[in-house]
Amino acid sequence: MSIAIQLPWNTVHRTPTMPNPGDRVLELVDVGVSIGERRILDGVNLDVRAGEVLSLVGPNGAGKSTLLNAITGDVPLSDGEITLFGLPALSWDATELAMRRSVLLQSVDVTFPFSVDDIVRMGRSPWEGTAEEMDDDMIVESAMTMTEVMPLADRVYTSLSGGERGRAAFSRVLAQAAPILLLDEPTAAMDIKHQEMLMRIGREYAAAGCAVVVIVHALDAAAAWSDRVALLEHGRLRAVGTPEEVFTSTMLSDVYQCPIEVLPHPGGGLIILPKRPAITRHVYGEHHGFPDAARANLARLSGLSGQGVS
Amino acid sequence: MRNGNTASAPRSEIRAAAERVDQARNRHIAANATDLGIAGKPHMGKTALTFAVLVVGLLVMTIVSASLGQLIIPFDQVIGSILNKIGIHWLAGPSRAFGNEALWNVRFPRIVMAIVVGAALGVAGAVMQGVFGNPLAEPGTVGVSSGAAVGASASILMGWTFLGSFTTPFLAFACGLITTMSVYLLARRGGRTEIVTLILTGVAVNAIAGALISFFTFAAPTNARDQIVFWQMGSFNGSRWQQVALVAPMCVIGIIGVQFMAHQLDLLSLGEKPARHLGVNVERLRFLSMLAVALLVSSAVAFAGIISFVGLVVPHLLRMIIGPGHRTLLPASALGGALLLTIADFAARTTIQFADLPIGMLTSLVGGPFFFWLLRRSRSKSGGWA
Repeated sequence: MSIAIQLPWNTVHRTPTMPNPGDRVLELVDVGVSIGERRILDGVNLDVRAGEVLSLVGPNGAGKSTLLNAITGDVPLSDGEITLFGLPALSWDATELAMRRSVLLQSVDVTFPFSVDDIVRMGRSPWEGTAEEMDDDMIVESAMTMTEVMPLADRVYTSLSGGERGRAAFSRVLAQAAPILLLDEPTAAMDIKHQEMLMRIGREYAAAGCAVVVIVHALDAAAAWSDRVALLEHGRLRAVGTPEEVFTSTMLSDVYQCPIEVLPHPGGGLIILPKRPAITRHVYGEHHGFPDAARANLARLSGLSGQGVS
Repeated sequence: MRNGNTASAPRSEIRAAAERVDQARNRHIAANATDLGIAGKPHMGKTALTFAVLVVGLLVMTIVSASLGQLIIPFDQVIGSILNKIGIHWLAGPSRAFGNEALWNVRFPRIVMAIVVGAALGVAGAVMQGVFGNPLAEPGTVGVSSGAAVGASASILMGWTFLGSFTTPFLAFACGLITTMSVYLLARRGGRTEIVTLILTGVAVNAIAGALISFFTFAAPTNARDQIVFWQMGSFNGSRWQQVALVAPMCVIGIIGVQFMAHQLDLLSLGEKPARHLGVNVERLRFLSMLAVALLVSSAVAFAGIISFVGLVVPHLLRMIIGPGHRTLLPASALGGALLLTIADFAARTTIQFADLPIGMLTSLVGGPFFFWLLRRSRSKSGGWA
């Protein structure tokens, strides 16, 4: 029993047409963002084409989230311009933007006890009053099936675990059915099966002609699933290109300030590992073959006498 | 070959077993969720039943409240009197002398006023909670009630009569509206408002209003002081059709107006940014909601005085029963608020003979413990709010 009232003077929104693969759906020209004195993004030039998955990678504080927020319009630009579908981002109204790009933030908290089904259905709201509205049920159902949240449909969103929430929120973003998908660390709380599932769905969307921009922390996942990667460092784009071009040992070691090895995987793709020392294991805390020097060091640090550590 | 077969047979069995366990688990979860009443998607029947109960309750309370009091008019005569008024002469009207006058000049205006004010307060509470994304928000948070009290007490103290008997209500209405809008504008910066800033600005403005009310109470002569104090306790005593005619249109406009925002309020519960990403103009929604709340509450308190806890408890309770969707929550809150105030006003009139208890006192007296119970209940069920 729902009472829905449509405003009779509702404005007509420009509905998007599906882009062709290779179209520039999103262009950033010399984008800069400053908050107070701090320069968070500087001179970022990037174009995103329909049909590709572009991963944004970089160390903490490099400006990945700010870049995504600048694209979504949540952070005002101090210079440069962002173009969506050939027109400045500011020339679209909120609903027209929502028809063109969907956004998944790192964590989505819901204030009231809405069910997962309600939440996913909210993704359809930009299309209210358009012809697309006819397909609501079908789109919601397929989005929920794809992300495996169907069994959770009747549960309250706030009662879900972190990973389940992540999937439900992703499902809502898919239901929005926008040609640009912007994802901010979508896999953070998910287990490995669902991390892979999410990236696979991202690829399927790109294959269907959408553009997917995703912030990823796991470099190997970025290498495995994306067509191009953009490496950010101190608010600037350090490199853009295919994972093989960008993810070199010297480049990554320099940007992350940590020795990183990049090896070709026998099955194709890259193995990316930090260089780690071989450790001596202390199984159940027993220090077999504990070097004398280290023992003395530990004793000094802990303020214990040398005899206390055995 | 044989090795491969023996290895794969148990594996597929394991997989099938795992699937069965999974399905059983999901069924169990779904069943439990419904049992506990935490299944977010309420049954269609539950919602319809709630609306039916509220409407029937309201009708019954109207007739009960009209029939009982110092002058007792039997139920059938009350119904007869209403039917006579609209031209159906099926049942006889009141048989006692002045029965009809008591009904139409005293009781019905009072009941209708309670219904209108209750509906306005209930809806305003639901909108406030939606906009603030906080189940603890109520119209008082942004200073509507205290602002209105400042206007009312100033006019009582000064003895202004430029609008006759409507001077105090008018000033209460105007000050409530002005206070809310100034809280909103003070909290606004660079075209944006943050919820926490808004709430804290409300705290500051409420404090100033409290000081002004104290000063007016202090400065007023005994007679005016009584009036100021009683205005703040709220009462429907002495409601007239004229007053109803002023308050009702504004409340009806407000209640219908917020219904247009219902879906956007749903989206806002995802948070400000996700709502914007779904095409909601959050700032405009906030401004319009605050305007609607200010209009509803200011006109509700103008004649009746301050009645607290309706805007807090009614939407909260109904959200537990019919779920958080604003498209159903807003009309249900209107009905629930109306029902609650009709009952409260009936109690205020009849609990103590020859005395009219302040209705604000009654709603707080019942609302406080009830709210505490709700709080404990939702805590034990879902580990806190939401």
